[in-house]
Amino acid sequence: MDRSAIGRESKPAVHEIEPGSIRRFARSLGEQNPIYFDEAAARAAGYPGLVAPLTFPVSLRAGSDLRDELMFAPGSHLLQAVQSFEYARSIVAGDKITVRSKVVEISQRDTPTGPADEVVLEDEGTDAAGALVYRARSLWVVRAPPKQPGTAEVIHE
Amino acid sequence: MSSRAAAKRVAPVKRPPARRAPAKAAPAKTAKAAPAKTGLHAKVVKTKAPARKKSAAPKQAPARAAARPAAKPASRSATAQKPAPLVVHKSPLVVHKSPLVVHKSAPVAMQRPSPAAVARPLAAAAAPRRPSPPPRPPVVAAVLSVPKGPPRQAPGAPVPPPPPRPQPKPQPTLARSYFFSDLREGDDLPPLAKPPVDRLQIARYAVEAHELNRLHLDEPYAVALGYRTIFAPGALAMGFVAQLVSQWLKRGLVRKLQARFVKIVRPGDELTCRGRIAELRREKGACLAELELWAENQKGELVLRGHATCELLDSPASMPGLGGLLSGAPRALASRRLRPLRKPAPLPKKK
Repeated sequence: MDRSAIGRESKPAVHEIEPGSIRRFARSLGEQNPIYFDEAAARAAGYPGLVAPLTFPVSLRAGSDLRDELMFAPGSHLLQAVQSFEYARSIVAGDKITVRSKVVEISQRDTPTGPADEVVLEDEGTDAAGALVYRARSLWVVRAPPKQPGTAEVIHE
Repeated sequence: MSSRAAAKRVAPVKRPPARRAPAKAAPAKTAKAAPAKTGLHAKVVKTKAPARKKSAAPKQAPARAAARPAAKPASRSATAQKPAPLVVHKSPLVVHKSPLVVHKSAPVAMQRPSPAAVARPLAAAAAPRRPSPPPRPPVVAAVLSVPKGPPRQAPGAPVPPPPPRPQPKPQPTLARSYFFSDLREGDDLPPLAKPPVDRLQIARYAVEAHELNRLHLDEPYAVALGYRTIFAPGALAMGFVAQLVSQWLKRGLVRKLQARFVKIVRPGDELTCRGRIAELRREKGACLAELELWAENQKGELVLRGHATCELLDSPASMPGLGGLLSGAPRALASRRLRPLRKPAPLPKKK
């Protein structure tokens, strides 16, 4: 795989966090906690506003999707294997978050089905004051179509 | 081959309970934790028993027994008394059918224990939480008492579970806070049993997470790429695990959350998220808890493995009134600055 993409950065995107998007995201996860649905409950719990679930940053995309610009063998596709977050604080409704994405690493790993390429992307979200709110990293495996159906069920071991 | 692979994959799920055994031996802890876990433990054993390999079963049994000493006796006594309720049910019938015989032989009637007397110890063993359970076979009672959600939500739902699946009621966040000084390494987090993942949820999540990949939405496309069906974005299961963490943490800050997606989550999969406290430490005045997290599907296969670093309040004394986490809480719990990264640290390689 083309390693020259390492260090490539996306265009930034600004997200104004709306209560509706927090509620919809929480509902899609089957969340029940009122701090994700009711502003009064969130304030009572000590947050300055309706708070977003921990994995909410996955929905905040940068201005361009770096995955689309990666070059790999035709017929292959990307499958996510790892996701990690570092949080400086919780995201609350009303935040204005600027998201930038970057290709951090492209490497090769031996798997039972042969060597596989892996891409690590890093997203950073900063608030209106310029302070870093979260940092998210995702590892994507380049998957070739398997020879036998049903063997694609295991992602990463 | 696939079954052996499955058993191997299950192994990490089993390991944490086994390692935890000595910590669990503390009597105070077991007494506190046992009643809540009985039901779920029974459920897990029931669902997993057929899938587990024979060689693995005897190895697991002692570890489980050691880890949950109170759970075993309860179920064993329930099965031991299995014939008892049958006698109870039958005896009134005899009385009704032939009252003359009963009247003639008074001593026999005296010897016969009253249904209430038989039912009382039985009820105590089978369903300790209910004050006056109907005298029914203990097996049925055990099934009925299996909590569908995390144990701490069970008392909140007074009605018996409706046919499809009970939705736990939203709980006030301030009901209880965990404090660093109350926690012990090796303690379990209350497990979170999620309803089955269906196609609607996968589609909805893919839209909300802006993960519009055809692998999650377009079945013929997914099948052409070698998958049996569409499958959920990996972050969905991570969201479930995050739910477990935030439910447990109440007030506190999650500093880090990491998850490795081990196995694909397909429509119909029923995930149970679990966690335990791997480490407690103080760092620059902050009280940190390292959590080990994992999720398994209805077959007991490991689906996700992860960990989290949480910052907690030290003790009730350190919580000023109802100020909360971000307003008036100790400085250590307020928002912190993330260090800018010069050279990005590599993601943890395979464990």
